Amino acid sequence: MTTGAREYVSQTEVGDILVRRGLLTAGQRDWALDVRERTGSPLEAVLVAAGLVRRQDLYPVLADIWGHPYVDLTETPLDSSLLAGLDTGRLIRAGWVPVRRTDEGSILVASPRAPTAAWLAAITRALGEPVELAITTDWDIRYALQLTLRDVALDQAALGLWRRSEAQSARRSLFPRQQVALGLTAAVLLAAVVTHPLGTLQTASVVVGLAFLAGVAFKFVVCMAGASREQDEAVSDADVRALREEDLPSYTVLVPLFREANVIGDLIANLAQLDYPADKLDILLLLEENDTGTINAVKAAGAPPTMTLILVPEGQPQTKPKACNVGLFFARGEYLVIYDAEDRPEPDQLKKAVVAFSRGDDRLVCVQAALNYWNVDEDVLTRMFTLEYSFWFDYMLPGLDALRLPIPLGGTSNHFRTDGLRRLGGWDPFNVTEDADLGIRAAALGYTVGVVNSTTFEEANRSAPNWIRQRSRWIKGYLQTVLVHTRRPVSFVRTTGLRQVIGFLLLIAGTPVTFLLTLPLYAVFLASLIVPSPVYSELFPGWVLWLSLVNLILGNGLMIYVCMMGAFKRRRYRLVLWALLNPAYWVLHSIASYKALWQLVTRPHYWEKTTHGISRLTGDPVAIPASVRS
Amino acid sequence: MASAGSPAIRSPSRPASAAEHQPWLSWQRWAVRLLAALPLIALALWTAHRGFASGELRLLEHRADLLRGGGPDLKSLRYGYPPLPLLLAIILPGGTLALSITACLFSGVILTYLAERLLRRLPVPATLALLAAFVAVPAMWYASTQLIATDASLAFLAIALGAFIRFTARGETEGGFVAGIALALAYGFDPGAILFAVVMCAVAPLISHVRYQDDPAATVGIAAVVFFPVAAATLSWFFLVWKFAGTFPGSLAYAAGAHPFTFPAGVGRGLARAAVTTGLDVLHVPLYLIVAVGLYRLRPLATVGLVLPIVALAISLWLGFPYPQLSAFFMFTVLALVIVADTASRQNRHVLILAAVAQLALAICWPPASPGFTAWLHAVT
Repeated sequence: MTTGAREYVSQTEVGDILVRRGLLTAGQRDWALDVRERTGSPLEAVLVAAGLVRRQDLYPVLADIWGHPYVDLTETPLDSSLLAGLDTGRLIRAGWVPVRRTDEGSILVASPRAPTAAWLAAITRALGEPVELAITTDWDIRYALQLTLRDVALDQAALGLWRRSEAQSARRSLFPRQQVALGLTAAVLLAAVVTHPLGTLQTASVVVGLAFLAGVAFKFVVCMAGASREQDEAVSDADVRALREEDLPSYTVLVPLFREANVIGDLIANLAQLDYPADKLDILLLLEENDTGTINAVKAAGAPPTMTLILVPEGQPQTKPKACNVGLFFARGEYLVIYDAEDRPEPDQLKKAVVAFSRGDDRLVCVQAALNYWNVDEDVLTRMFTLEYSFWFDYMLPGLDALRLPIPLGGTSNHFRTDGLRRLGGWDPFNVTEDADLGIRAAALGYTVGVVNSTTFEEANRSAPNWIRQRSRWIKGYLQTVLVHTRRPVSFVRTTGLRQVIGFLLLIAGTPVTFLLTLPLYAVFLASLIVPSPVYSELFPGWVLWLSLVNLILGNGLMIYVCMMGAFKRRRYRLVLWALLNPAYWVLHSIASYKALWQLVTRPHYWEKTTHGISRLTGDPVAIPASVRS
Repeated sequence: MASAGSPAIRSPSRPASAAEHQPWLSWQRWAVRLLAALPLIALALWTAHRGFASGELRLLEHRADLLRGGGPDLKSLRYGYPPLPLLLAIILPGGTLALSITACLFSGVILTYLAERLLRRLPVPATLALLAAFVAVPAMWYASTQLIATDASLAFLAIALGAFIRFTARGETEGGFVAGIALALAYGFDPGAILFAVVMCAVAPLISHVRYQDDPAATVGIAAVVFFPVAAATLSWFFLVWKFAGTFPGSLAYAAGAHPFTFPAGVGRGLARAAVTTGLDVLHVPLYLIVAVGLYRLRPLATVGLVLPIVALAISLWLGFPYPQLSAFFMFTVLALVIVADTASRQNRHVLILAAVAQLALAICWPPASPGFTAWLHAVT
């Protein structure tokens, strides 16, 4: 231990010294000590999180109080050789870092924590050599590690999952066996078309119709299961109120940002609404190294001290999941959640997730909050999108949960146990619907995913081209997920269960299939109305046409109905009749699905960026009516 | 996973789900329904053994034969009404007996559904007394074994009504799903059910006005949710029949004596006749009247919900939908028992039991009329 170090200085004493040195007023000290008492967090964390004092002003004083030197890691680079052999992940969470070897032969270790003999002994044990302690800020430690571990983080984020298990990664779309199976199927189909064109057309028509109906009927059944659970309030307000702040775990919030300079102000304001002790929040803004526009916007906006900028190293693939993996690499929270730039989570969402986790068993790795939109009434597209999200998140996901089927996660507001997420291998950076893939992988590895009754409000896409770009990415990701998880079908069934695999196929494969089949079925329907009867009756005998039409009518009817009910459940009554336009909305889905299929072949890992901040209501935050909240 | 060092989160235990409150497993409920249907199935077998099948069953069998024998162009779809019993007639082997047994199963569902609802509020003896108001009526044995369209349609109507109350009064959207779909299925078995869907839409604001008074759009929403499945089923089936058989109004002649929208007894005289017939139908069900009075004392506006089915019945008869007295008796009794399950109290229990006993006595002395009942009675005795 450094000469002159003080073994123990009480937090009250520290507060008094800070007041004497003019860093705090007596009132601020008393408030911070009170918060500390309530949350159990160190005083310095409370002060920094509340913005009462800047880190760079506080920690030199603390170093002085604790009797250790202060080290500024932005000026003192780490000796990377000292990191060799250390578990970097644990190092990030542990809150100390070896800086350099001293002239005396010991290792200088930097840490923001109040030093104790036990703490120093633990560090000494970990390094296996004598250490000298210097005080630094938690921000400095993360900054220094980012700089030093840049290549490690990039490699881990991009190829970690692939290295762990090639079969779980979408880096290669088709494995040899899959190529053979697809080739054989195509050959058989081609042969059938050449030898029996009419029979093939009719058989295909029947299969198409039944597949369409099966996909839609499955969704309907799951929605019914979800609806039957609506009276079971998962986490009540009373449950949230019963939580003691000192018991709350640390929470990392990942916010991947790419070309989002226009929504940074909203983002900061929205995350500031979270009802969670600021000193237990670890908000990481994940910024692409080359996205100078967003980086400058974040710096200009003056992010609060609870937010940390993490630069995502440049390299392929440049996708959101890769950015999230980098965030996971640097995450320190016991729990972790992802939000998009324009998200407005309900303030108590983190607390509700904590309650939901406390009720689950050890296998519960993730809980998904519902997503909905705040700019519902902007135009037809935003209305239809809201209808779709309402039934998906308010009925489908609770239904999958009730039936214990694999849950494909939504794009944001997935809350994880951080350790569990690491055990799952993080996100697949090559899968463009990494969230859905992760939910299925969790099921395949024996973990469970649940839902929590809290909502995050997002910006609904009001531009059709932007919508198609976004949707084509989602559908392509679903197709990638199907290809990934059907590589080892026997093992998939064994680990996940037959019922779950059937559910997975009907949902994850069924969704793109129904979208792909929509246009052909609509074409058959229109042809039956326009083309003279003798012509089409030669191609489609009565019963074939009847089956196609019944499937089309029933399928569309069921989808309209679940959309109506979704709107009703969300208490957006004015949207109920808009559900009648769902068949037209599905034309857009179908167009997007063909684009997705084409891209799966030509650019499988290309990330179609969704532009946010295009709502005309942006900048003038729309109040979300209390009635539509969870 | 929480680390070993992290404090345990104190939170109340998970609330029990609806499924956890449900005392019976699904297979047990179905076993009970089957058990309830067993005496009726025995009666159906005896009836078949005596060589009797109702006109409705024979008509369905005949139409099923026409559809089976129709050409590949499906022009025979013109006979495809009512679609669901006809579908059963096509797919079930065993002819009219199979349809008869299926009718018994639907009756078993109605019986257990009503018993379950009543037992939530009433003791076993009171429940048995109320159920006797239609279980012990011989005409009902005929309806339960021989009128598959009526049985099935009423089973779904009863379910729809219970769910509709949950949906509108308690805001359970799952109830809306169930009500809408049950109504569509009831329509599939008996197109006359469409009028009850209209009635429910009309009644919705009266039941839901307290809950949704802050948002009038909710009423339109409720109506859409309740009515959409029936409307979609109706239009879809019209379209398919028109597309394949080239006929539109013909498809409405779904049952013997059905001439919908033709005012078969004339516009003015028909209305008077329909009113008288409906009045006589209602007199057969004192239980319905007592329940209506009870409901009026509790929630006056909601009583319209019991008046409108009477109006709907009169209008259906006037328009040319056939509705035998026995079917009306069946319907009003089932509706009364569904409502009783929500309104019965310790105070009015005895009055309800008295009304049920009176209804039973009345039904034996003055049986509700049905075209095939007398012939059936001769056949089985």
